[in-house]
Amino acid sequence: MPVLNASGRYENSSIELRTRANTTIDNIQVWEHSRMEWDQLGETLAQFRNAEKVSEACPVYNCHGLTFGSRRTQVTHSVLPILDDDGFDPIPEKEARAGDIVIYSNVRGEVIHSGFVVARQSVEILMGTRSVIPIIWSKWGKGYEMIHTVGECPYLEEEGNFAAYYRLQRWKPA
Amino acid sequence: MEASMSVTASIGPFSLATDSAKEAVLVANTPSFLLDRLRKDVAVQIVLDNMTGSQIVAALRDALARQPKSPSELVPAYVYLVALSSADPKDEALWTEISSLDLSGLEWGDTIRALISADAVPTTALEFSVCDQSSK
Repeated sequence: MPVLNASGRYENSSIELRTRANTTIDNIQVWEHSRMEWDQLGETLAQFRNAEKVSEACPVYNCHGLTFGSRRTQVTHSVLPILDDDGFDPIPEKEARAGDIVIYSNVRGEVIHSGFVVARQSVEILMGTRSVIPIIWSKWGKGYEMIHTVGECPYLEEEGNFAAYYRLQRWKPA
Repeated sequence: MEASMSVTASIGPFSLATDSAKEAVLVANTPSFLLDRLRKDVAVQIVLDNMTGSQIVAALRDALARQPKSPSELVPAYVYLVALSSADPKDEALWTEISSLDLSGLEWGDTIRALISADAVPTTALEFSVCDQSSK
């Protein structure tokens, strides 16, 4: 439960969280500020006009907290070891389907976002050009859970950023 | 200090909470993402165009002293902090000031400071000339 400290601020907390291979997953629960207050930062997300907001803002869990922590907490360290521990292997984008995990990285290879593939859909890429691409369910920082095409989000805007896909293929850790 | 106050007042911390800066603070999952996004944000450019390094440190210290009461108040504080990533690596006095800031009021303050400090490695310029052998 969130605890108020002497200065009247909610203290961050963490919970026991482990991979399938029983490795501890670092995490933090952030309780400061209400949903309504975080909502005040979300006005500009309208630029992602085809992305659908499917939850309220919540600082307690982040994208990795949705993907790897069942919305309970923010997963704060590298998630690639978690994928390995849990039995996920990389797959090509054209094979990605519902249930797979997408990992967004920056040009330096640092993971900046994650989410679930929930469908593949034919969408118009350029005028008259269509392509079947993954549809993603992910949480945008301390903001909202969103349903969006793999590219319609803030995490592929920078040059050199890329998305990679992982599928649960090993029923026990390597 | 008076100069710092007047510059800060003329910009106004809330004018630094641009839509794009607010979006960056909201959607960031990692400190490095927030740093990369804000470095390119117009709000950071406004700060760099109008304030010296010491003025930015003073404005950040002032913003943190008031304990941000809402996420909107966090935005200018992160903008000031990221603006310090452009501080001259050779300005030891300024980096001492930056190191002494209490950033505990910002969730990712210490991590972002560590990232920008790691980037701020002074470089040495070597001067050399090349003799044109063919003219001999």
